[in-house]
Amino acid sequence: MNVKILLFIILVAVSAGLVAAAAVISPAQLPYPIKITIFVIGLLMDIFAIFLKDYSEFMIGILGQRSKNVVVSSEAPYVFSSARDALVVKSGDGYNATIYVKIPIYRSSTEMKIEERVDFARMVGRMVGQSRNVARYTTGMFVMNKDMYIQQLRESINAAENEESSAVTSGQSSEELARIRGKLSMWRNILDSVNSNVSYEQISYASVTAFGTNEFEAVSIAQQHGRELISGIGTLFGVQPAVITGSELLRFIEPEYQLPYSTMAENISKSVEEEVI
Amino acid sequence: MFDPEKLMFIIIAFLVVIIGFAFGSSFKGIYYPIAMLFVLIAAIFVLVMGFADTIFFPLLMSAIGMRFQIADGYWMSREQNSVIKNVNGLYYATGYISANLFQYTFKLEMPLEEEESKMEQAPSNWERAVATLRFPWKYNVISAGLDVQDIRSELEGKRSFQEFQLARLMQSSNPSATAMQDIQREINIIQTKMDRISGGEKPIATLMYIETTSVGVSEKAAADSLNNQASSISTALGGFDVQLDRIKGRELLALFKSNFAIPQSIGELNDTFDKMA
Repeated sequence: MNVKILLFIILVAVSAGLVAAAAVISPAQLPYPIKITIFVIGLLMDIFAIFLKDYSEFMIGILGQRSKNVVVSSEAPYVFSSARDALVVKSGDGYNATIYVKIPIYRSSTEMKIEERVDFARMVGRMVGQSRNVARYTTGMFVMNKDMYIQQLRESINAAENEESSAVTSGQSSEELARIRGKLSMWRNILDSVNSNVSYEQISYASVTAFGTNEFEAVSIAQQHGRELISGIGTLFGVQPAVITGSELLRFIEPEYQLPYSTMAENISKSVEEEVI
Repeated sequence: MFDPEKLMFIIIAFLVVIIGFAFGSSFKGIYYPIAMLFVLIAAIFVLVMGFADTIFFPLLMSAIGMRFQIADGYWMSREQNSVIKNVNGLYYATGYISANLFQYTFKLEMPLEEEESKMEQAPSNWERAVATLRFPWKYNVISAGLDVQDIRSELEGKRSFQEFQLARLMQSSNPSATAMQDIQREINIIQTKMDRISGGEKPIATLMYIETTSVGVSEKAAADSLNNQASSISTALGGFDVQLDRIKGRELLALFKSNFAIPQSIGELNDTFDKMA
């Protein structure tokens, strides 16, 4: 039997016993203040039992820590498999491994005929229903990662600034100084235009999880399920889905990779500057 | 439809309240109203936690000022409607919204022509919605294939029962036309499901939700931005006739965890999610 259910039944049974005992025992044997205390404890246990059923993780944390900031879990939510192609999570006596498969479909309804649109909608329905295993199909908008580009632009601006200061100190000609300042202005304008808009891209992917008694088994089963998904999606849409590996996987699970740090930080500081101005 | 297992838990917990109410009269004087007050409090807690825990628990914890760390680096907001991550001073808030589109594309009573027309419009409606949302978001469909034979047997049983009801109604002296129409409608729905299965469609169970992430220089800024994004999603997907609800509390925690390991069975999905399953 599920531990939560067992705990719930034990708590309810004890609370029923306490409530009934407190009420039945005569005041001669047990004074009223003690009787009412036991009665109330019984009822509180009943309330606790119903809380514990669905919120055991929260309640255990609340009871164990006398703080308003309760740590339900301080462990990393996942680890990468050794080949970095799956996320591994400890689950009871075993492990869950999750594989992500990228679905490269780049078709727009504007370039489809009416029958093609109906077919496409049906194919999406068929794709969702293809797997007997529990699978997740996701499509979403992601911020394009301009971090590397922004970093390069910043380095170019720094280099141009250094060039300008050394040109000033070494007394270079006004034409040379104008050329360096023009270059600096160009890099700054490019950085401004890159930051003025956040660019988005649509990505679709599927994910599937498998359980195994050890990490290796879980990953192997998940890879097998992943291959089934790849073959099904590939046949339906005539595309070549691929397992997502390494740091690319982080885009789908970590918020700072979905909204890249430098891209967003530049964008936020630009908005703040505009507000101040 | 209300989950019978959940109803059983509420009844068991409520038994203690009934015992308390029945035996509470043994208290005399000032102790009687105290006992009844606690019985009333227990009754309220059991009923509210049983029927509306996903609303009540976050409200209660927010009122107390409790905040939960759910994994290394991840916190639940005080309102329990978003997951917060702080990366080098930038706050990322991720929220989840239930969005079951099943009714939109697979309405069981829908005539074939109407369904075709909806299918035809679906891709362009989707693209229009995507184009209006200028922030990162993900649409997720978790699906699992069901056993064709089991579902077929279940449907046959249901159809036979409805046909029996209809025959009995027709034999009665004064059959109600409305009741007959209702039963006929039920039979049509079941027949449509059976026809779809006979036509090669696999029965599936689905759970659909939207995930969106925002960024801000403070937790409040990120949470406010997330609320705006959630409202924009509601507006953009309005045309799909889909009910969108913000996910809170334990369901939020379950969806956060499902990023790293998807539940393995339909039973597990149903147990975890009340709003979306």
